[in-house]
Amino acid sequence: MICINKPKFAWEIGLARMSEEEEQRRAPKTRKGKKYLESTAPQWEEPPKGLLVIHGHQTSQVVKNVLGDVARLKKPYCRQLRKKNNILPFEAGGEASLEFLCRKNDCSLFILGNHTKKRPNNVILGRLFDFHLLDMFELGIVEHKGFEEFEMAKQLQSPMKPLVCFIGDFESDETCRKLKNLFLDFFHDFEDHQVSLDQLENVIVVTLSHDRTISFQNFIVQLRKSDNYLPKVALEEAGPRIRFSIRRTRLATEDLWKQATKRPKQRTKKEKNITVQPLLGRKVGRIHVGKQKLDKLVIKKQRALKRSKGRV
Amino acid sequence: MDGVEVDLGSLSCADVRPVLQEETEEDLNERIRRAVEFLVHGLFTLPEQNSERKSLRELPTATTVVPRAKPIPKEKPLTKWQKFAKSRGIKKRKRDKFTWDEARGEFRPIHGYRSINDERDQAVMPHDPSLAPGESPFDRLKEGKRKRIENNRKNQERNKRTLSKGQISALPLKNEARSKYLDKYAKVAAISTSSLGKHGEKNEVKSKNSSVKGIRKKKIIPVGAERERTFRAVNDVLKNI
Repeated sequence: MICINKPKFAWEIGLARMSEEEEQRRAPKTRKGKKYLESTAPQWEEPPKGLLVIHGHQTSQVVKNVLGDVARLKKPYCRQLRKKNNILPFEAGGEASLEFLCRKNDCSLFILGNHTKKRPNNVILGRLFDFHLLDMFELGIVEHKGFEEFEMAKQLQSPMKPLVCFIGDFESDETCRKLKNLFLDFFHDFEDHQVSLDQLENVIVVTLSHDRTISFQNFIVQLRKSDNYLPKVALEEAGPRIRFSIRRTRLATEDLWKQATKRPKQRTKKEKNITVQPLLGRKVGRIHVGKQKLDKLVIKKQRALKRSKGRV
Repeated sequence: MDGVEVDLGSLSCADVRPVLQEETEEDLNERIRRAVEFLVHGLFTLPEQNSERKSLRELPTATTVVPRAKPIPKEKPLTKWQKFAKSRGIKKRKRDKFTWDEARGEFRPIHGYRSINDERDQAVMPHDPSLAPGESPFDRLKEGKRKRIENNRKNQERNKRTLSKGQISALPLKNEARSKYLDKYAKVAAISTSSLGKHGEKNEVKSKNSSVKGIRKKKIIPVGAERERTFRAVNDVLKNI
């Protein structure tokens, strides 16, 4: 009477997702497990998102180089998977294993590179919310120049807080707007709301060209003195330089996006181990100093204790 | 400056003018340089925060909204005692752990093992008239302690239960499309049989099926009736002309 294709696998009707949540809900048995769950639990003020670098079933040398370069730019917050993973996130149900890997590595951003006859030199950039796929963009690599082709790349230190610059009309359509948002998400952390002016080191520039290709560049910022207190800015390219063409995209559904962009109420953070003296009105902090190794202490040798040459 | 938007909170700037085909690389580099310079000048004009570290600047809140990685954590629900204390305005205050024991001439803990008023420590007790004949006052003390511990454990478990309830409701992600998908399959599964409904009781199936859209069985119309109906429709149209 009714002939309908029954789902073959549990994940097709979302059963796998449920069991994963159940797994998370299970109380930890060891202290180590408890610590791990605490470290991955949601926080009010989030640390920068981690990036998971995945190599697809087949990768070309260009794709490998691009993945390596992007990983280097995102370095302290990056995890690279060394084995191949046959993941096709644009196919139906293909995102399940991707979500699983990201959950296990506690990363909310991913970059997946693969190379096929139909889509050569392919890179998929995307992000997750609560380890459910939010949006992803498939980009084809048109041109790539690695770090080693730029002289200035040697001067590049750990790019902890890069500036981000967008050139071109990104606001005209939804795909470009979301892509811009994704690039900002990749390279910026909103954790501590302060910056040191002598740490403005590099700037990441994303340009949308007239033919809808996206070029990705990295410059070193050099501040030069001028006649007033505002410095002159000079830029030196430090690589990598990658040009992408936009292929398939999947944008976030409206309700998921709404949930993901909800802001928490402003909370006043309690300062730890700091008391205010009521009479003097000043702050007093208490810090913990570890055990000192007195036997390895380097002390200046005292002259007075030394036997001089002349006296016996 | 024309066309440059700066968001100091997210350390980003954007030159929103579209890139034209005739623009050379030098033109583009100049545009990048100008946009970055604008951002850097914006950062330099922020007020100083700390007199010790002059280069440190507090950033304003970012105007660009970037999605979170994980949902906002839920507040832990209050335990029963915390609720009660809140309603009564009871505040926690710090108390000493040890106190001076006059009789023994030393510091002793206020509660617990070797505490100052440990009832179990007494060798002789005053007579309590409420005691049943043959009942030991020492046993009664022990029993009381056991009951208090048991009671406390019960309360702890109850608090744990209510707490975990709050957490569970926070977890599932609202995904309407997915839940609709699930609903559909649940309905189909409820009425599916291995013989595709051939040997099942049809009446029962029908009542369950009523809410399922789009998979109702089509009526089979005999050939003659269909022909008649078409002719009638054609005649109706022609009549109006």
